[in-house]
Amino acid sequence: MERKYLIAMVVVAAVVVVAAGILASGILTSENDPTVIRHTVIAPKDQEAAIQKGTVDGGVSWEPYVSDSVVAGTGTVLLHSGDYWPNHPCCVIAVDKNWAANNPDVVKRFLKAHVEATEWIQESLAQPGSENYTLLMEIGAKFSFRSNEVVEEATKHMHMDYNITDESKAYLANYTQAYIDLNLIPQDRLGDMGYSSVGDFVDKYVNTEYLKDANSMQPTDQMTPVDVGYLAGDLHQFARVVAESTELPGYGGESIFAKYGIKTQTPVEGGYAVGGDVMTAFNMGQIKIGYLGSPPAILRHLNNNIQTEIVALANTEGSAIVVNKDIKSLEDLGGKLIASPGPSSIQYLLLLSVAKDQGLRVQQG
Amino acid sequence: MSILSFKNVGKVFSKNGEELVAIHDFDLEVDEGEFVCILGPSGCGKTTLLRMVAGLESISQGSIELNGKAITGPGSDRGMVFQDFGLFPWRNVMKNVEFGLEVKNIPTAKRVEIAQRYVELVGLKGFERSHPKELSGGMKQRVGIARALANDPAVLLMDEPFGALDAQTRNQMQTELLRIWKETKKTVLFVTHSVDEAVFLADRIVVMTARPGSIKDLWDIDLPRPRDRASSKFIALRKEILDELEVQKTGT
Amino acid sequence: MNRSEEEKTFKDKLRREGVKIALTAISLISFIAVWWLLSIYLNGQNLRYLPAPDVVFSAFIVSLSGDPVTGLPLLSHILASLNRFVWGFAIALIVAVPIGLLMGSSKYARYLGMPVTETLRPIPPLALAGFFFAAFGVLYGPIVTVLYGVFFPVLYNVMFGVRSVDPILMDAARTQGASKLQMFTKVILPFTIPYLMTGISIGMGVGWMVIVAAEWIAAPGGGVGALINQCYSVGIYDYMFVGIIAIAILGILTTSVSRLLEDKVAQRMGMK
Repeated sequence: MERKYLIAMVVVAAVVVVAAGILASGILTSENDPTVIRHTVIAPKDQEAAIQKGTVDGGVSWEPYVSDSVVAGTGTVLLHSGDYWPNHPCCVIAVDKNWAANNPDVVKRFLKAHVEATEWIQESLAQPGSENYTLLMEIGAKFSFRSNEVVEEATKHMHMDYNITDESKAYLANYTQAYIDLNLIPQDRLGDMGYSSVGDFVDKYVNTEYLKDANSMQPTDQMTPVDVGYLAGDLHQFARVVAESTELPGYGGESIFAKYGIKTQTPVEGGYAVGGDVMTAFNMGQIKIGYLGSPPAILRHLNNNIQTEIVALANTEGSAIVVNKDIKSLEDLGGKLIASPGPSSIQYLLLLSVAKDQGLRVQQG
Repeated sequence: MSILSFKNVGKVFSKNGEELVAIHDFDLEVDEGEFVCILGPSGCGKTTLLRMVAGLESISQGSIELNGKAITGPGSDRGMVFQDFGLFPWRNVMKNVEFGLEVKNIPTAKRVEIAQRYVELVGLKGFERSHPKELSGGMKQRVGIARALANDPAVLLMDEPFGALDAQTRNQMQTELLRIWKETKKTVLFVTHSVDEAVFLADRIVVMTARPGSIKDLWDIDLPRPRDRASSKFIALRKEILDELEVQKTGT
Repeated sequence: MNRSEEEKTFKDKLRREGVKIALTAISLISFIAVWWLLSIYLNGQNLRYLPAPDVVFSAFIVSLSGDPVTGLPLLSHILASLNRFVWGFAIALIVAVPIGLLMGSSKYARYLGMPVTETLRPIPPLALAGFFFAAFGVLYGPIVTVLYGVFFPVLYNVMFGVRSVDPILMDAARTQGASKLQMFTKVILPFTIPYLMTGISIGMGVGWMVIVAAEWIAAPGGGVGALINQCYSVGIYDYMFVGIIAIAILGILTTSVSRLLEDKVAQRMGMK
């Protein structure tokens, strides 16, 4: 009766499938509690496809991924972060604190190039159709592997700005407080690190001295190599891309960084995947200057004692909640599944804050 | 009365385009209830001959008839016992013996009854639930014999069944086989290269030539049973047949 | 005499077992001690990436009701990972076993199938993970990645099993009057089962390796891999280690259960 082996195999297969089904039912069926936004982590580049496939109802993302969906018509913007948090800081430039203290001149020259690139972007954007405008779009397209159209759309909602104002500091304090409230920064960590309050932490962690002196820096032929980290394809860090470009008119085939004697080099060609990786690179001594989101800089500095400080902004605003066409208003988010790049992102904080305003809870789902 | 007849049987293997004649002009009539041993040097095709009877090898020339019907393929009217036992390792003794009955869809109760009878016949009572790996070589071959007999075949084909056993077990099994043969009255076709074994067991010995194999000589063994290996007749007969084989080997 | 000898061997056995247990304990205790000391040293150097065992343990207790990053209890992460694992595994079995049987039984099926399987087999599942995520989405991508990882060990072991069937067993079945179908169900299939179990056992190991990395990329509904990744990104390494330990325990459990099963089946089938 070897039939029993055949039967056994079929039975085992059936049991496995049924067990899987039972396990799956808890996860794949959506509980449509209208007071809850279900949240899941999906990398920004994958969010568009996830919305299209119906895996999620929407996602919070950054540029160029927001504009990807907008230009392709696969999603609509429910909320631009700038409309909700005007002038909120997003990506920043952080430096290795000890290295910067020993090489203040290099930091200042780096920042001078950053400022000049940022201003070049601002001027170019002010003259749509000009040669510089087109060049800017092309540089952005080449870096982010997107069309000029997507880059153009992206520049409408993100602002290139380097200044750290009191308003920016207040936002950074809010981000920090949000993480403490979430318990993602332990309550006693500020004290452990020698900060008396959230305000005190931001005052100390943000160092505007280098930026203040940057303007007095002059072009030089003396080249200093600097290890730089940045995020792959992230248009929020457009100023770095422009400062790196050798195609700008009036620079004689030289980059802005080179003009101020900065020879950038990066241990990871093409950039890091997430801000946490940039912070890890600081910790390993692989980089001295990094472009990254402000939340991972704050989180990893406090949680892992990675000795860095924020010396300038890279951009403000420029994130958005992108949704499918069934969601028409913020109230509609209740009971929906929304993706974000993860807890250590501005986008996650934005989702939490919006949800709170709407009286909705956010749950991993 | 003849039950199994070989008529002008030949076997040709083709290998790499070359034709190799393994068996040539083999003619033999086997009587019902007779114990026939096929004896020959290795490579003479005696195993091939047995496999042809079993239907495991095609017949190139001539025909083999069982009860007047030509053999065309395997069937349970011939029971085969293999040198390496060929027991199904995942089946216990009973289940191995039941195999052929199961294949014929005989109802369970009947199947168990028949299998039990043969398990007892071969002296394995008490080992019904044992698996082959738990049995000694001799016991394994007892299972092989019981399995072959369970189908109640017209003829029992044995391919050097005790070749893998030690000398003592071998002698013991030969005696057991004769007892079983006497009880079941089966026709037995037994392939061996041991002259001693053939003389001890057979009614008739077929001595084959080297390749291409055919019948060199037929010996009727009329020694009284049970046979005594130490008797002078036994020893003389064994020597005679051995000499005949030796001549063949040296090629004279 | 006999009794005292018996006692002696029993004592010997007891001593051997005792030595084994003692050495196992020493091994584990020193491992934890080294971990502990290393973490104290690193934290003293202001390098906070290796939390001490006691810190991880308290994080584990908190995780049971919900870790701070995802808010989900550890059990739902484990269930989510298990769910992906089981689905990938089940589909792999359902697809690979028949194909393996076919490719094992038929030369022509083998000629037809082998070029494809031999081309795909050396590609590590994670190399294809990106493609699977793009093609099947973040929901099914991890499942397909596991499926791919489990598929080949099962396929090849089943195929190998069929091809290893002892020809004497086939001869025996034929002389017993078995039909082609009966030879398949009564000889080939049972003969192949221990080989299938070996395939499953290997697949288990591959599956766990793949699932964590696949969840690292994306994991709606949580998952241990997602927990590890998110805790890493936030920098709360104590919770990250909770995830690592959870996956280690799951892996040890499932692979040892499947090995035990493999052994038992092989024994039961008389193959060992």
